[in-house]
Amino acid sequence: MKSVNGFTLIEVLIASTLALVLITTAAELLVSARDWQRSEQHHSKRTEDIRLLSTLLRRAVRSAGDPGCHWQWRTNLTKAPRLSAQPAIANPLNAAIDSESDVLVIQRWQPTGKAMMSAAVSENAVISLDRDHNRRFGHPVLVSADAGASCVLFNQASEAPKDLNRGPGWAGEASTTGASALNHVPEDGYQALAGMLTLYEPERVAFYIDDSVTGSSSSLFRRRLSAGNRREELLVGINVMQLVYAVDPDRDGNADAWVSATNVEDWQQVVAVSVRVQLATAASPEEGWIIITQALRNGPQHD
Amino acid sequence: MTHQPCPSTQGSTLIEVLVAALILAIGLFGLLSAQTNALMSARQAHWQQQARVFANNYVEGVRARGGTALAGSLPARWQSRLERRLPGAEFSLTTLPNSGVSQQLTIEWTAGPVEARRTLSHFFSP
Repeated sequence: MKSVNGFTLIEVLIASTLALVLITTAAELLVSARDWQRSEQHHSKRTEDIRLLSTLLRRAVRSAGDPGCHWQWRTNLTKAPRLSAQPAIANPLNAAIDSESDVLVIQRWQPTGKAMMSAAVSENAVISLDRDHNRRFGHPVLVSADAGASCVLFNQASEAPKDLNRGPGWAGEASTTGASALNHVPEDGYQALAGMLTLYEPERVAFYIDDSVTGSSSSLFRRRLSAGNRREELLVGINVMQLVYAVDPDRDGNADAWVSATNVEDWQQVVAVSVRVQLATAASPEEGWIIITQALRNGPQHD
Repeated sequence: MTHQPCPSTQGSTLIEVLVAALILAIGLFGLLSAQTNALMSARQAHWQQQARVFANNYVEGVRARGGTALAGSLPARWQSRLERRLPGAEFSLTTLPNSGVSQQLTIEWTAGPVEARRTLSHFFSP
């Protein structure tokens, strides 16, 4: 009765050896799969971190020193406070940010919106808009006409929500002495503005390293003047940030030296920035260093 | 009286066990190669990103020097940094024949155990 014989001893031995080999292999595979997955996640995270870091910093440095409108067309009417050209990269020591690492500070004029003028052409101090401009009295405003080459920088001298005023200032007692006039009156009359306008506001962005709110490591943070200087945590797991600046003292367009912030004599001479950060996600501290070098796109700032 | 056992109570033969084991082994092998592929592609993306950052840094460095290329070769410091980051990395810079200004920067590295070379080309005008 062959069919009820079952296995012979030799069959059982071979089958169990095979099973043993298979189970061992499967177990090893499971363990290594877990390790691989960890390694894969680590690589993806690092790749993603580098991409984000590179995008954020490059975009910021490229936009640094954006004048809003061309210097040649700009009329600066500001008197008190007088707005002189800000360097694209600012001295981080003045940024009042407490960080053990270096701080990157960029400055630019940032477009905040479009507005249509109520009148066809404005040749006097008041520029009436078709919408609220959200500019408070005394705050700097840069307005450029989308058509034509007119652009004017002044301190807002009106409290009206839809009117921009580039006139001398508040018609109070102090204005009679002229001492506190916000803007000066141009000798050859106000520049004519027509059609669609773009409004700009001064922007200042600081990137720095501080303790993460997650508590476990440090992060890259950002503070934007336009966002009320609130701190924004951008990227968790950044240990250190070091900055060197390419300076061009002879203004021949060729960077002469790479120096640290304390050795920059004139911030208008900075032509490129090199950011060196250490990612905490790296397997070794040496592997964690990432360098991002970015040249400035906007030339020296004019007054 | 002869008892005819029902076929379902018969045990498996050795050959059946062997075939089953073979199928299981093929399955495990497939799983293994899928894992390896996933890991390699993650690593590949990482290298690609490293090469991209490096290429951008090079181009921006050239721009800071007013468009003067670094004589087509890398300074030793850059070279060693590139080699540390990318396995078997090589760097070349050629001026595109038709423009005279535009340049092509090529970074080449070895892609893992299969020994395939991967390249990243970056075109730029200083």
